[in-house]
Amino acid sequence: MAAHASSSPFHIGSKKFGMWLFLISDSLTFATFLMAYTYLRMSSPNWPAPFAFSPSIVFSTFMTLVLLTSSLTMVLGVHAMQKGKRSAAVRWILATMAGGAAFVGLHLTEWRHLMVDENVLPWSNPWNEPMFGATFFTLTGLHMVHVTAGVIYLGIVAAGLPRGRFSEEDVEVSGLYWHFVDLVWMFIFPLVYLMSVKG
Amino acid sequence: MGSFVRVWIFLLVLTGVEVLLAYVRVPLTAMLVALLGLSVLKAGYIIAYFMHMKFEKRSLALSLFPILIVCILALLFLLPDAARAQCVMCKRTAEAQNAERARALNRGILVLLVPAMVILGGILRRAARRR
Repeated sequence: MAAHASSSPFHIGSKKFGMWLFLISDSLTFATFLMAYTYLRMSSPNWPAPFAFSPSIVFSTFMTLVLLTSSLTMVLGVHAMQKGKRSAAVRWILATMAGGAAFVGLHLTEWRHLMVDENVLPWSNPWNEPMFGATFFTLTGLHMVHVTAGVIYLGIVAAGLPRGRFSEEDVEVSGLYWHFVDLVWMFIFPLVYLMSVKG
Repeated sequence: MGSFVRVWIFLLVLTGVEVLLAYVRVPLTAMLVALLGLSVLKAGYIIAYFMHMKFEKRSLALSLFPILIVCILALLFLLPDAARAQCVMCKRTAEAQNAERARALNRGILVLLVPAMVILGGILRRAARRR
């Protein structure tokens, strides 16, 4: 498919391979954060379960739905690009960006609810278990930074495509990053939210 | 195009099952096992279909994922320490008993180590044979 792919032992372009290597190392970053969260949770007897099923879990389920759907629009964008339909690819990528931006907006709303209404802050909370806020906000914050970076990345790709810049491999590589961000949330959502339902 | 939509629907269904488990309040340990299983399954589908891994050369997956899995499993070595903090009583009780029992406990831990090492050795042997 991509140029020079046949000379690679993996039969893929070097950009794609580079992105895969980055994603593997980035998943280790997230794995250590999740492990730190799990370690502290297991060793703290008063670890809180602060998420009421309604509204918090319903809300974060909706966020998950938005992110999963943005992964679908991304894969359709890559598909359109492979068929040479550049303008269709741009439209799908714009839809993906909208999904990502909506996710960040919803997530910030959720953070605001925790901070203002429930008084859960990164350094203190009502259960006197400050490490909860530290690990929760670092983990979800790091993910939010990834989503934001992804929206910017896709914005650059979407802006360049109509002017003839970027190949189908470039679009596929940006898609890999986007699916990875989605994949990480598939671990954060159950392990942090669903495991901490109030009551 | 249809296959992507099918995978997407499947992922939504699995997410629905996860939320349902949270709604009916499954006991914590069973919940953790179920959620981890479902999450790994979801991650597998995302990697295989959305990230196209199923249609790449097998050597790519074989080069990338074993390292990742070994590193993540290595992180699990921290957990017994966290669990011990929760059960200070058990450790104290075990320590307070006589030396013979302590030796039996240690031998038990060594025996439990054997299957893990056999599995790891088997994987390494297979990997070495296949080059």
